[in-house]
Amino acid sequence: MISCRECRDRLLDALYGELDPAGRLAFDEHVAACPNCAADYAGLEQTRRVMDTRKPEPPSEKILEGIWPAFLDRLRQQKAERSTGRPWHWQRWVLNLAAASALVAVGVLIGRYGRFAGEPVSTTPASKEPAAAAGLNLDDRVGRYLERSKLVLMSVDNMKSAAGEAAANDLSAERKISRDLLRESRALKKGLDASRDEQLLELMAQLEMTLIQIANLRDPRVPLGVELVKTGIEERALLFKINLEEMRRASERLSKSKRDRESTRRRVG
Amino acid sequence: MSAFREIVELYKHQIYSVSLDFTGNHHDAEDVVQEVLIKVYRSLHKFRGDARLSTWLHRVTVNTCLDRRRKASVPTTSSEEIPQYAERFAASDPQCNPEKAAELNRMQEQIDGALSSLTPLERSVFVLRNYSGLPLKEVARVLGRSEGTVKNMLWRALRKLQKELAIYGRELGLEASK
Repeated sequence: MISCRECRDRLLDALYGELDPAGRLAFDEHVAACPNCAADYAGLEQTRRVMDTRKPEPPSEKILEGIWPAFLDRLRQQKAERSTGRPWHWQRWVLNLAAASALVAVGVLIGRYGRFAGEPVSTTPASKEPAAAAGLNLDDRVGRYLERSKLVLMSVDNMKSAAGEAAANDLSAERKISRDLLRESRALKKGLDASRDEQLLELMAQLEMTLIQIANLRDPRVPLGVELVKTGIEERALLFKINLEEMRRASERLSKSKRDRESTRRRVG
Repeated sequence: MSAFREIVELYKHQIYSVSLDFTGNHHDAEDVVQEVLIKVYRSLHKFRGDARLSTWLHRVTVNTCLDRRRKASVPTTSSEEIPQYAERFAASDPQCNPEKAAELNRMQEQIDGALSSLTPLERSVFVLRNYSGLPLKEVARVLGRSEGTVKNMLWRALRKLQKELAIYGRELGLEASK
């Protein structure tokens, strides 16, 4: 016969009829012989029986039939709010800010690589070489990853998604860069600290979803795929979040260099 | 859109029932259903197919109910809704006299009160297991918890309900709790 402890372990399964026949038999045998377990089981069974008498009034046909029209109404209302309301203007403002920041960043990139590498730099970040091989430290690699991700997202975001215009889209570069970025993201995650870089890791996880979508965009002439990616970028406010992360990192670098300067001054003094 | 309509037609009863079990009144349940449908419509492309669609819809519904509860910080059962029980008992059972209807009404109030004593997660587990009839494994998937955790929560929920209802033991046909 099973022990009281085993009986207790099976109590919930017995209550909801989830025990197999052999388990049920062993449970019933124990309950028949043990007054404590029997009382325990009876108490819970009665509680359940009473709770089962709770009968919220089932929805009427009228309510159920009204669900779809009400949904269409709400959807239309939200679309109207987006085109005229304040939240949409706010989003537009954020995207404009993101676009302006990206332009500045592209300028910085051109300046940096153009000066040190002595060769023309494409605004399309299609470098095949892994960042690690280029001798960058983790911090620089993260910066580069964010920068390239932003450019890819902006590139897709600017694509035509209307049925007649989508044929002009060429996604080959974006798909390739997205694959590179996914590889880079996996490599970077190994070096990041889950507690210190929680925000960045969360952003990278969200970016990964969109990069996978871009990497898998098969036919650029099918506008739905591009539209879905664009909606994802907008709804997750990815460009805005990348900008925030970049600002946060820039500010961290600034405070660190300040601290370093002060400690050097103290040492010299 | 027609594909989405099919999903709505197929699952609207499920979404509504869970919402009603959580909110306890039709007005809020209708609101929750609309909120859930908008969320699902906007994020259908994120559904990766690694869970069943019904599991995912349960998850969105439960999370929406929990979010609303958190934001509103109000009891889930509206006091205006409770008197409807009496009318319904009277309507569904011609033998049910006004005294009997009132008694049943009071009993339903007590049951709703007991349910309100649960934490949001305990209530989620209990509602999904007891009223939606999901097996514990599925409840765990919906709530994104381990099966062991969910089992513990259900255990705690039942104990709390037993204790709450013990006060009305005789009226509700319950033996006094130990």
